[in-house]
Amino acid sequence: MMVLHEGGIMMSNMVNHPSADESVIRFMNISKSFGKGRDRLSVLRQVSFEVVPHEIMGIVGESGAGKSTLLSLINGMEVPDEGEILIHGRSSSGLSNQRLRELRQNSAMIFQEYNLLRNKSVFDNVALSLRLRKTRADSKVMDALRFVGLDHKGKAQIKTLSGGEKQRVAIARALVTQPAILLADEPTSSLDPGMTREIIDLLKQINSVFHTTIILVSHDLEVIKALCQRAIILRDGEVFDTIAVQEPAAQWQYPDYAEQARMVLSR
Amino acid sequence: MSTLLKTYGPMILKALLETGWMLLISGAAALIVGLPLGTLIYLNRGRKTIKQRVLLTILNGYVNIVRSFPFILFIVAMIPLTRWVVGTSFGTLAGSFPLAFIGVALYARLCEQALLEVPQGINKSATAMGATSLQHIRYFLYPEARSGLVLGLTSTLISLISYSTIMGVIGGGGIGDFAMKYGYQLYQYDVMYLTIVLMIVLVQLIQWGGSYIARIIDYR
Repeated sequence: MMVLHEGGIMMSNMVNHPSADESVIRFMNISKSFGKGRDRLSVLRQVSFEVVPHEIMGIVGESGAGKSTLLSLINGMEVPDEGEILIHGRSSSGLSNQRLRELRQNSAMIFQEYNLLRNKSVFDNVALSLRLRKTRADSKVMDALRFVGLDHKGKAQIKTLSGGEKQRVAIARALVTQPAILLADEPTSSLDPGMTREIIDLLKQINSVFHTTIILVSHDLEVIKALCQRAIILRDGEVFDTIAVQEPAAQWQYPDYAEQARMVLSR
Repeated sequence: MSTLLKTYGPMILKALLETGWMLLISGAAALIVGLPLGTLIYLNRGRKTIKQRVLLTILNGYVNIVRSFPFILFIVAMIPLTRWVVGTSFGTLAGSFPLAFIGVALYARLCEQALLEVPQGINKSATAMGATSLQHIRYFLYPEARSGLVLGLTSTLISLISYSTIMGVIGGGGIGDFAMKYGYQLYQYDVMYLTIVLMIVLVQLIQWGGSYIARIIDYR
């Protein structure tokens, strides 16, 4: 496993205030709702923010605050009702299916439940990302598995792995195509504290070594605190605040989640 | 028993071959047509466009109507089409034709159910990774649902054995027709019971084979 580049982390922990032309992701007044008529549920309202290259941005909020929808909008799995999303300066609106697939292939996503194919080996799961691009490079797969510390488990079945190992396989699958953006949807929510620590360290390494921009969705403020340089706090589909993440998290002591997030993360 | 086998052995063998022939044709049709049909039904569930809704209604309609049709009437109703396609409405090949329609409908529904067992996260993952529809099916859905698909095909084949027993109506032959002709109608109940035992053994073998394959390809 590669050694964590502490200096890089220290540098990248400095809070950036992005300008429009250097942003990797730019949301401009994005609104999104699901359903129709009386069942219409407004999930995101007038959300605007920017993410700069190589940044680790956290998205926090209670369940139903719109965190996962926001990630789905970034990789084009959902289309906004209003507003515009720029990825690397290019609008993601009105793209053909082919261009949408290209957009998705330029980013990678990891999930809370890993979403690995249980009927395929560790190696084949990681190779899948390359196969979708009609390429096959065993050396790249092994490099990705080596990076996450699982090169000795290439032939293993998914069911034999621990939760932390499964998430590392998912990260290897994401890494093997060298994406510019890594979208992480609650990647540590199913893990115990020890495994959570492993995944946090791994994501830090990815950011440090590959300069991958990471968007991390989590309701766990400790994880956001340990990993992110900035965090967007969502409340009821709106941006409650965008703050620079500072010191280690304090104990929970605020009844309102959004208020608590702002206090804990900015302290 | 040995006298029974000596007398009826060649005829039983011929009847078994006819059943096997009907199963092969209808089972192949179920696999080749039923699998994509079931996949289309699965993929179009809950889709919003009118085109997708119409397609789903047509496919579901076919599956539901064919499965709910009393089979003996279905065979008779299919006679004009069977004669047009096969060239005759009589014999084993002609019997395989309506049986194939049943096999397709049965397996399509079982495929859909097997695919519904695939966790939604896998589909989300496929979309997030930029998979095309065909890649989604080939690399995500089928590998993850493969044991369910094998078990579905096994159940379909067993149902087809049952359906094939009334193919005597149009001279399709088969083991069921043999049991009716030589066992029931000629009052030779030992012949009838022997064929019933043979059919039970056949079904057990298919079920055992299907379950075994499903088990060894399931790593979940």
